[in-house]
Formats: sequence, C-alpha cells, structure tokens
Amino acid sequence: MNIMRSKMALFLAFSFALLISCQSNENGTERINATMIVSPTPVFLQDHGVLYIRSEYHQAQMGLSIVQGGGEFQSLTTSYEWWVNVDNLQQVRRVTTEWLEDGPHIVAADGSNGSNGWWQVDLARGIPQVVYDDGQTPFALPNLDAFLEIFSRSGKKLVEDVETNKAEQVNQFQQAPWGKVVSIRKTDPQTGQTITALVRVEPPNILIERVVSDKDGNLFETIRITNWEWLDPATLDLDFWMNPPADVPIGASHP
Amino acid sequence: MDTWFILVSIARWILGSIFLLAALTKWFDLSSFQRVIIRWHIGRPEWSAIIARGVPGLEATIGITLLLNIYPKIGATFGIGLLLIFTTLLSARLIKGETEGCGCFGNSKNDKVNLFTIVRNLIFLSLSLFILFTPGETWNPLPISIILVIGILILAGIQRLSAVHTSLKRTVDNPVRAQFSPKSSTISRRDFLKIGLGALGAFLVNALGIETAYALSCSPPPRCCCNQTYSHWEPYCYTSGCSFPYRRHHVWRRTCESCYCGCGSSCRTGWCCCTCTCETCGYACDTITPNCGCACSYCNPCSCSDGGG
Repeated sequence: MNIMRSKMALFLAFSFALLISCQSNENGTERINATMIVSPTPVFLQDHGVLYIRSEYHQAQMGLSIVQGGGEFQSLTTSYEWWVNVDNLQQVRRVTTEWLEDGPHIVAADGSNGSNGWWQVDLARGIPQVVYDDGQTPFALPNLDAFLEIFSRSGKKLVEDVETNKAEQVNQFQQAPWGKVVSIRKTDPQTGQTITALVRVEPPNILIERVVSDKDGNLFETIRITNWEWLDPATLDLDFWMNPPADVPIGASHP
Repeated sequence: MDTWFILVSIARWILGSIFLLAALTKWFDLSSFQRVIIRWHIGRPEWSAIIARGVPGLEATIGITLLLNIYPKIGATFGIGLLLIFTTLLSARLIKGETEGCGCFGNSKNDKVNLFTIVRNLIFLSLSLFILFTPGETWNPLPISIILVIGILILAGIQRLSAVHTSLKRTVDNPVRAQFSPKSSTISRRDFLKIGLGALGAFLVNALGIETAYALSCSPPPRCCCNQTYSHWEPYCYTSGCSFPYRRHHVWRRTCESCYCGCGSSCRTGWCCCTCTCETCGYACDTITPNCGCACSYCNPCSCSDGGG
C-alpha cells in the first residue's frame, strides 16, 4: 500500500515537474547412462550383504549448485549414493555429489563403522571438512523395508494412478534386477508437467526412472537409479565406511 | 520470452506514442486548445488557461511513463481516467450534433468530432486496460523508446509546420477572414526549448532513471525491493545429512526490483545463501515466491514429489 502511494506521489510529482518545466543447456544428460548399469549380481533383494544404490538426478532447467553457491538457474546433475549393510543397519555410508563442468564435487557425505564411530561432511551446513564423532550414528535406519520405501513411494503412487485411470500404462517388459517393469505416463494436474516413469511391477514398486517435461514439452528433470548392486561386506574395510571417496574433492577444492 | 510480454510492450509503445503526440500537438498551439475548453464550457473560463496547460502535461507524463516503462501501470490508470473524461465529453458533443474540432491532436482541421473519434478513444481505452491488467514484466529494449520519442517529436513538428503553412495561406487568400480565424502562433524559441528539454529529460530518464531508481530503492533501508525465495526439495528422503525419515529442503534467496523483476531470468541478481534443513518427508512442491509484481507463470509450482524419487 505504501509502495503504491509513493509511486502515485512520484507520478504526480513527475507530472507537475514536467508541466512546470515545459510551460516555463547444455543439459548434461551425457553423464547419465541411458540404460541401467547391470549389477555384478543382478539380484533385487537378498538376506545378507551390502546394498549399494546410486541415483542420478538431473535438473535441466532449475539447478542451483551448492558447490558454486547459487547464481543463475542452470542445468545440474546430482548423484545420490547409499551403501547399507543389511546385516547391521548402523553401518551406512551416503554421498551426495554434484557433477559440474570440471567433474564431480562432494556436497555432503556421512557414514558409520556400525558400532562406535561415525563421520560427516556437509557444505550446506557449514561443515566443509570431515568431522569424526564417537558413538552410534544418528543416521541409522530402523529397518530395511523403511529404506526400500524411500525408493518405492512414488512408484507405488503411480501404479495406483494406473489402476484408477489417472495415469496411462505405456509398456510392460522384463528387466534385471527388477523383474517385470511397467512404463507409465501421467500429466501432473498441479504443474501441468508430463511425467514418464519406469516402475517395478511387484512390491516394492521401485521408481527406476522418471522423466519430467514441462508444459511446453521441454525436459524439466530426470531421475534414474543407475546402480542397484549387492556387495560382499568382506571386500569393504573399515576405512571405506569411515571416509568419503578419496578421489572426489569436497566442495570446490581438491583434496 | 513470453509472447504475452511482447504484446503488452507493443500496446505500451502505441499508447505512449499517441499520448505523447497528443501532448506535443496541444503544446504547440495552446491558444487553440484553450478556446476548445472555453467553447465546451469545461470549468470556469478563468480556469481554461490552467486546464489547457495541465492536460498536455498529464498526457506527456503518461506517454513517457508508458514509452520508457516507468510505472507503466500507473500511467495506464491515469490514461484510463483521462480517456473516460474525453470520451464522455465527446459523446455529449456528438449527441448535441456538434462536430467542430475536438482539439485532441492540436488545431488540425481534420480533427472533427464524429463516431470514429469515439471508437478511436474506445480502442485506446482497451489498450490501457490491457496494459493495466496483464502481468507486469515487459520488454523494454533501450533504443526503441528513444526512437519512438524522437519520431513523435518529428511528427508533432511536421503537424505544427503544416498548421502554420495553412494559416499563412489563409491570411494571403483572405486577409479579412483571417483576422477572425483562430490565432496561430509560430514555433517560437520557447517551443524549441520545450522540445529540447522534453527530449533531454526523456533521454536522461531512459539512460539513468531506472538504474538510479533501483539503486535508490534497494539501498538500505529497503523500500521497494522484493525478496524472492526458491524452495527446492531433494528428490529422495534420507540423503546425506538427514536422518530417517527426513528430507533435505533447500531455500535459496535473491533480491529483485519489484517494479522490474520477473519470475524467470529477468531478476538482475543471482540466487544465493542457501539454507538447507532436514524436514519431515512428505509430498511437497518446489516453488518461487512471492511473484514480485508479476503473475509467476514461469514456474509455480515448479515440480512436486513425495521424497520417493
């Protein structure tokens, strides 16, 4: 209201003054492998071992890099990685990496040896170097199902949408390690965006891939699970669980 | 760029040019416009001199605000008011059967009051309403406004010279009649001073005005800046830094000039100062708020997810 009043005053003053004076993307998709990287052991679930999941999230239009501190919207690819020992859910390692023009940069990472030590690094929270702590990790999982639900919540909703005719089933086929997968297309009524997704048919309905196009048909974002692998815990020593990847710089600086 | 913004910019240029032309042609022959005011009984006769000078002043201000994109919505609002008054007066004259010159564009013999004059005013009124009710972001490339202002000055000058020529011819052909015809003044040094000052003012406002106004308004204490927020949710719950079942929420900020900014890329400052928190995992949409003076058709909401990819 005050702004409007000052604008009006300025306008009238200008009018009066005039009267007086006169009378006197690159989209970065190259980094994303179009096909699934087949796991060395293409098994979806097993009772023992370390489950390694890697997902790539590509923002084609509205990416803002934490490493670069913001700036203008740009295309940006971020990868999320989880290593979870299903025999000891305290033993977890997670890494979030931004893929910039000069390569990967860690944004945040944390992990735990599964018993009495954990660590974290988090640029966005002002922790630019690895900080170690004693005791049990605050990032432990309650159970494996809860972890799997993170990757299946959206997929389950899409499968329900197909059943209630809110989304369209495009195709169905077999793919390792998922088994039967279904391709689904849907228009989001709230954003007007078109979503094309690949979902595991059997529960848990893992969302394997989601491609979002805006109202004008331009690519908006994609998310893909690129790795779903089972690793042998014996091959991973304690250093692995208690450190971020050594070959990737944390933030903008190199190690 | 949005087609909508280009359309509203074109409407702004057309209407701005017309208002500026109307102002200049009246200024060049104030005595004739004053006679029109007396003839139409607008206010008391002693007010006619003030009204005759005030109306072109207001028209010129509206024209410049529209052409140079300085508070164009306020310019359009005043334009609507002025056009409504003109149209009402012209309609009343037309109903009474009077068709003598309306003085809308100076002392032109072609400027008769007829149905076309009313329709023309209604078209101008529609353009004003279009500018007022469409999103605020407009296209304002620097040279176009200056070219239009100079073009209007030349047009007004030609119109004025033509009127002087007709007046002189009338004097030669019929000196007796010419004695009783409306007195026409020639372009005086004062007229040149007016034109020069107007052009200089327009140039300075266009070159410096917007930047200066922005600098003044955005320096502390903030008066008209708009602090915009981009709220972005990571696609997954339980990513690095968040315990189960929380999801990372990024909030970016930037400062926009409220009268000039847009939702997409027209804001002159980049996003910064991300605040990252872990919040309960659930369905949420990325948003850019507030819209800082324009309907944010670009992206609101930008994308929605429930933290499950």
